[in-house]
Amino acid sequence: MIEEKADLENQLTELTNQRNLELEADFMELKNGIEDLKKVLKNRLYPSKLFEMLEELTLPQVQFTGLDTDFPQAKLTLEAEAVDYTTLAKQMIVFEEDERIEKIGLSEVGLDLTGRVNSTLNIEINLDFLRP
Amino acid sequence: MTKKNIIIIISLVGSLILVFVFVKPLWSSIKALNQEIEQKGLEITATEEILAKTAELNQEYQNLKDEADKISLALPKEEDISYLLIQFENLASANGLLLETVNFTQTEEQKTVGGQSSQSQTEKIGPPFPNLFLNVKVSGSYDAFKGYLTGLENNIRSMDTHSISFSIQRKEGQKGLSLLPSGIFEFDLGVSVYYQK
Repeated sequence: MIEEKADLENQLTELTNQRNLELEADFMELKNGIEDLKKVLKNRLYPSKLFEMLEELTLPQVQFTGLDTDFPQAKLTLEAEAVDYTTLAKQMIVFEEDERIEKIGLSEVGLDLTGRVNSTLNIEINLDFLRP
Repeated sequence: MTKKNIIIIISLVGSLILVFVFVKPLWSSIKALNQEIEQKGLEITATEEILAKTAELNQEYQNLKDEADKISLALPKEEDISYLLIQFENLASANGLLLETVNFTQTEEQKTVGGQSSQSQTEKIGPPFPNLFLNVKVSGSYDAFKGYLTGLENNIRSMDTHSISFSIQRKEGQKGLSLLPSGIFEFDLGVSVYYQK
């Protein structure tokens, strides 16, 4: 039995010597890289889809002059110019009826010197539509 | 009790003592040796499996080497700021934008999606490993910016855009209240760029 054990030990040493530890470490590193990349892709947002949505929902007589987004908070602030108050109200209704928009509020509204209606819209969006 | 019986009993007791003193330790060492042999056998099997798996993986790796290399480009081991600057500038010029500034503000572990008002969306944005947070300012047309944004989204280097803001730039000489936009916007982007731990 002692001889058998010695044989097995020799066999194990021989096999261990055949291992390419560097290559094995490279594979582990590659595996970790793939796992990390999966984590990156899992929650990736595609903000360009936000602009597609705004282009789709914006009425012809409304113009946006400023935008401020905060994706971690799922919020955006839009500065809009409309030809009159009725158009602005219609624009708000269009936003409210879209399922990609969770909530919409108006923080500032007033006429500028040219008679156009300037407003600031506070919008909360559903981030799901920004995912792949 | 006869003398013969006493001798038999003494012999039996003596035999039992011998068994406990000599045979039991021998049996124990044989048992231990057997366990060691079994253990070595298992180690040999495991090592053979590792060798076979390594050979198999090596074969697959050679076939997919180009794809595997992309992972290190997507998630490099360090920040690699110089390469990032080149990418940001190339993307800007390719889309007809002017890259005004790039501010490397902080390195953070992660950001959280969703505030208190949107509990359902409260998830982690981005992975739980280091990222370089930077602010990029570009100027140009709206269409050019859309192209730039799409370029960032599809860029091989992993990055997420956390915030976007823009305001319209008025024409020179048309201060404050002028409503004749030049069509040129200034865009501010908050971007997280990831790298491996």
